[in-house]
Amino acid sequence: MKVGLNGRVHVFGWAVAAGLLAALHLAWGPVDLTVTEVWRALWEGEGTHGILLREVRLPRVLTAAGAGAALALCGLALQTWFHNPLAGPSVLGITSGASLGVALAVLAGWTWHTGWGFGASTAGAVLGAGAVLLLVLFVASRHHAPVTLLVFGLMLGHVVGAVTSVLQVEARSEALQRFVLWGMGSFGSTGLGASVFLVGLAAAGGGSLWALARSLDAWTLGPWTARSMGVPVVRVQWTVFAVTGILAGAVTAWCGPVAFLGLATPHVVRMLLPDRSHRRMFPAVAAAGAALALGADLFVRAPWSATGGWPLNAVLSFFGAPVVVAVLFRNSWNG
Amino acid sequence: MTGADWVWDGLQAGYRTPVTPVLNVRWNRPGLHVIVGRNGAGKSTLLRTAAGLQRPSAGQSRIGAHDVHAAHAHERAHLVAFLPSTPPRGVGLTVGQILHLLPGTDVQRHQALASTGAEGWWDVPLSRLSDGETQRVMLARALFQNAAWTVLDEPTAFLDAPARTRLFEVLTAQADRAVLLSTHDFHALVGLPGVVSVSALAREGWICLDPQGSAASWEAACR
Repeated sequence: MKVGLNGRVHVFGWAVAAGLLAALHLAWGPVDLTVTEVWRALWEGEGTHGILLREVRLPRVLTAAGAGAALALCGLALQTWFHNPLAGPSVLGITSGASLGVALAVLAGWTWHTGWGFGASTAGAVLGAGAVLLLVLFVASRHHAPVTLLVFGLMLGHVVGAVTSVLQVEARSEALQRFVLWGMGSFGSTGLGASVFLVGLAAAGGGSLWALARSLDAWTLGPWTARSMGVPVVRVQWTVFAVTGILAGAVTAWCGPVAFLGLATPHVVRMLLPDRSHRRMFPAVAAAGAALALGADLFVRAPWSATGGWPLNAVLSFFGAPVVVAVLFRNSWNG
Repeated sequence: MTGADWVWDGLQAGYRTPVTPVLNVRWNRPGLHVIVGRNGAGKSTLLRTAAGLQRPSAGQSRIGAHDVHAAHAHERAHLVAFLPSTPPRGVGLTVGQILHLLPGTDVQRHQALASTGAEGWWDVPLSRLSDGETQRVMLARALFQNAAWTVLDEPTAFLDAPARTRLFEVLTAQADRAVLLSTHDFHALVGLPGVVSVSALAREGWICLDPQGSAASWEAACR
């Protein structure tokens, strides 16, 4: 079938782009390496190149790819579930919950760290995201209308954001600076162990969502039709919320509240891929999310920056906001 | 399985407050069954409830030996196929992809599409079609699902006159298919030989009407 082939070529194209960008990341930097040097250093390097790659560049590449894929998968699943092209990982209040957890941890002055890059702020983010997720699931078990949940998540985000800003005002300045830096987002603050874990988590989450592909296809036809066609709606809903909550919570814990990747990546894929089935969209979106995150991180690591890097969220907003505006215009023009 | 006994046992549809009277109805013949009633009488809520898609305020809906509300989702899909009154919008899937979400052969898929005048759009995304065209595809989906009962909520609301006539022809021609539909278009149904029963959902309760009666007599019962 023509559509199927296009879909596969498309996924392959995004994967190749992500691979090339990853190679560029590994080779390029203050210490320039050739591809063969990278290859050798990765497998046998005990010297400085090996340490540089294994402790700095490889974790960063894996974190960017894993986080980009995870957020893009969340974005697609939530946009489908809520029948809303502007839904994203931040809409359920999950990112806000993680921010509150980090604010509490950092601004209270807890600073412990482990070798995995897992410290007080990570714990705070995971707990904050988890608490909000439980609250959303509690509401979801009583109110099935997607719009109710969407608005509940948004309002919850506002309340949590308000608490966070009160905490900021009360905080000491060095703690505040750490919190503000975390809020700008970064793929560069994870260890190798955590970055491998994040990639594994994205793969597991992607697999769970891919298993729901047919149910989500039917869900686009409306809740009654989907139910009538035999979609186990409650099970699908809980899976979507649990997977997106865990993925978005974990990414926020390690990389900060990353902007736009989850919201905009599915739209970038839709502009290029005519096949809308979730069987094709999930792999395409995961590969595209990884490629776009790696691409954005090249600008973050830009050599022309005097201060050692632009904020990730600033770079993502430069690219993400126009994409969302373009989508809005396209939708209103095409009816 | 088609035409299996459908029993509404003290069934009452509604949310926190009931919107219909308590109904005790037994459907035991295949063919076309029609429900009429005024706007706001609760026809849509009743049909969704009877089809097992939303919880009843009270009572049970059973097809054969199965309580439709207790059945697993995939099991229920064999018992009832339901068509909502409004067509979905902004669906990027093609017509072929939508019909491929249900089991069956491509020959049967094309037959179902042809029966509702939706042939020739196999590779077209649903979002490119008009509301009426979309509803014809969704009708084909409901018929192709081939459940014991097919429940259509206002299936003609978005259809033009030729499509409406064609739909009623198709439904009345398949005497062994059990269909329950609600409609305001009952003028088009008067005198059709395949109509097995006509009932009115009114404020006072359930009124059985003469399927060969006049449109005026049906209309009077809706008040």
